[in-house]
Amino acid sequence: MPRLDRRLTPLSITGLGCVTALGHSPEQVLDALEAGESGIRDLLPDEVPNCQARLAARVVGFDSGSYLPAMRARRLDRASLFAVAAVKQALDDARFPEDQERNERLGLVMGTSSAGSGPLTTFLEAAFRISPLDAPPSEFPNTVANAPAGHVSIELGLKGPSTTLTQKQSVVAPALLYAQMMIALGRCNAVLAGTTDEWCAVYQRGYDQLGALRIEGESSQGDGMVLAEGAATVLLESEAYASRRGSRPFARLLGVGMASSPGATYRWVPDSEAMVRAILLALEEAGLQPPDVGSVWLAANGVAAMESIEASALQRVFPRQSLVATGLKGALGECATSGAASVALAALARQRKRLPPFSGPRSIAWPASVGLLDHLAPSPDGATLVLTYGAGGTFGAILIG
Amino acid sequence: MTGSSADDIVVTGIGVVSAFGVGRDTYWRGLIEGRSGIRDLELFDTSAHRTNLAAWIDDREYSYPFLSPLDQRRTSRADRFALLAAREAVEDAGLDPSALASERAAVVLGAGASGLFEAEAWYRRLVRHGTLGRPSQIINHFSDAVTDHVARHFGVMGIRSTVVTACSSSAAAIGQAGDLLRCGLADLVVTGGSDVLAELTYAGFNALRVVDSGPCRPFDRERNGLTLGEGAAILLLERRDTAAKRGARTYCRLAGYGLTADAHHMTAPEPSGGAGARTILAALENAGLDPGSVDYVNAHGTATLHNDRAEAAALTLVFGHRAQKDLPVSSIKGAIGHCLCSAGGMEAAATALAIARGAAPPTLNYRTPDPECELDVIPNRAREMRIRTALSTSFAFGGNSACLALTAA
Repeated sequence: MPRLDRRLTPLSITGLGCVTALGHSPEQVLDALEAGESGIRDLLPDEVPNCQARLAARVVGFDSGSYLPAMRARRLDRASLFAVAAVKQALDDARFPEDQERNERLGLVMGTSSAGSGPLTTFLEAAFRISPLDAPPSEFPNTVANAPAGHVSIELGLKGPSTTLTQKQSVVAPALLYAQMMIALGRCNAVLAGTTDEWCAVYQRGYDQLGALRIEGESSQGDGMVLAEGAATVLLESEAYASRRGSRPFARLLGVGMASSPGATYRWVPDSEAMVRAILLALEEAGLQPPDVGSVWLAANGVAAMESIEASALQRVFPRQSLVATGLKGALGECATSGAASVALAALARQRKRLPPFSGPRSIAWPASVGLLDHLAPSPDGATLVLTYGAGGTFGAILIG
Repeated sequence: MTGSSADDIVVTGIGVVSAFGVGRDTYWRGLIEGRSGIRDLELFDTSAHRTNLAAWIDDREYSYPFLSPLDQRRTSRADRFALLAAREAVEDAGLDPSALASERAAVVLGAGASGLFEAEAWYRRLVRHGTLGRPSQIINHFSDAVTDHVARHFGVMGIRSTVVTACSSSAAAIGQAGDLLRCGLADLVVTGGSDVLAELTYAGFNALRVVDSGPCRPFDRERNGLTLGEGAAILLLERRDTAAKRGARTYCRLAGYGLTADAHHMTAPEPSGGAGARTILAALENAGLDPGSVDYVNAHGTATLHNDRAEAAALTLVFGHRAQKDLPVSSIKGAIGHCLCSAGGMEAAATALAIARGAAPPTLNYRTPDPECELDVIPNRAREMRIRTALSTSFAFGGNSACLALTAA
């Protein structure tokens, strides 16, 4: 077992934000998941022509007017709009006071797997189709992946430590780890940790060419992921700080484990050892034993090889127990935000004391010990494990209780 | 900070690929001799822009014997530069590379364009001809590909994290790497950054009209914008106790860092200097240092009208009159250009070397002092000096600012 210093302490999750293809607030999204709905739909012919994979989980009907004036919203790209909304929801949810202390002692760790993709392709399309001189300058600042965090800071006046991370689909793990470190080392009292993503037609073409996407008509057994977009945020506070200001936590962040496997950098790396290490690290940090865990939000995203190692890792860490398992990527698709949404919704589900059904896809025959929920069910006792993995060989495990 | 041994983070290895070529010593000599890496750019067509200059890396003759032919095809320029620099840093640290094949090793890099240069060829073909290019042109498009390649090369099994905060990316990455060590989440961290030129960034900065048609002139009254650059700078960080146990030589100590958001504007710095001052003060506080202890500042110094003025104001707010007469400041962007997401790493490497070797690199092309940037700028020739405490500042699009505090080991 790797050594781990005990500097990281449990944090209170006191605010949630979520914008996804299934709804524009955490409550909406969890309601829809509980009802067995899916946000995945067929793309329209003009959304991305000449592409075999025609499924995506896009956000529709999102009204940014609830979060910022239309004049200002026009300057923001989609990922930034989603990020502003999710962060504002989390702060409002937590009734976090808006004062100088908030502005300078509140951290922001934004993860993403695709922010900037829309402005980037718009800018380059004009440069390549006409001339670099015709590329729209206004798009350029939003091509950088930290544009959402920058816009959040500007719109909400947040001046504390701020960073943007990327580690493909699994970035929620390093984002939460860094948030924990910021609080543990006294840089902040509280940290907004989350992700934001924008679906992009050119990326759909690229992933399609690489054969990474599920193709319509192959049924739910199809091997591959469905691209998605949206944003999810959790507000983390030290337990002392949360208690001092009388907040009511949804749940506690007990531990985060991250491990990696030196496999191909652009493919999924089916390494169950690395998944096991991530889970053990999270358990160690949380001071828990496997029997202390009751439920799991799977990373399952339709990639059969990864689901197989996920099942194998769970069987190895929890050999003598049955876990109640759910997962949302059959309804929300895959992107960095699906990992962060799993954390936010797992916290909300703990408050509701019930778990939504597993949304699929069922790319493998899951073992009976990983009890996939096929209906809304009461939450079992014990901590909740949230799993995530990213192409290129990164694995994360997050424990909340 | 508690000041315990766990907080004592040291730099034990440095590797650099810059416009001067491959290698830390090549880099240091170029800087200290006051040479410029800025020249006509030959990576892509620049005829539509107001300049054809950049501090670019002519890698046409580079060889990568440590990569298989397949991996040479399946890596981007940014990946290959990062690997060259990382291998040099590990060797410099006297570390058996197999020590990195561990759950206790981590890779935290700043990155941005990553494989965008190669992906642009794929997208140009799609836009102009409606056909797809080779898959190998897009597999490294994501910024984190650089991190993944470095981790894979050494067999790293621990934490990976890629910071994408534009021009402060790799400074912020170095700070985060230090925190991993402080919190006991790793024993060895490969950190820094790698970033390369791409048509997007070249056209973008030209479109914003912040590029000088000649070589950039940081803090000079006649400055007229930045010159883009590229490079990779990798540092190996360890806790002092573990470094000492294996007898490692140390360049300097990462005493602390500050990370803040301007909350002001996406591309313009907060003009009063107040935001920049908060970043610097956060670094000093985190490091447990007084402003009076700082001997040298390696400034962000982009040579844009607004950045240099705001940075000078920030330094004056923190250091008072001392900033104007008695605190040597240099910007190395006149030599290596603005390396964007690797700039903070390039500058941290230069600052670490300055501490270890007792000399501060100069600010090239500085001829006419600007009354609005009243600083003790080191002009054109390096200055020999004992540096016990130095700061390296980074300010970025999105208002993401970072400042590293480095002290003599």
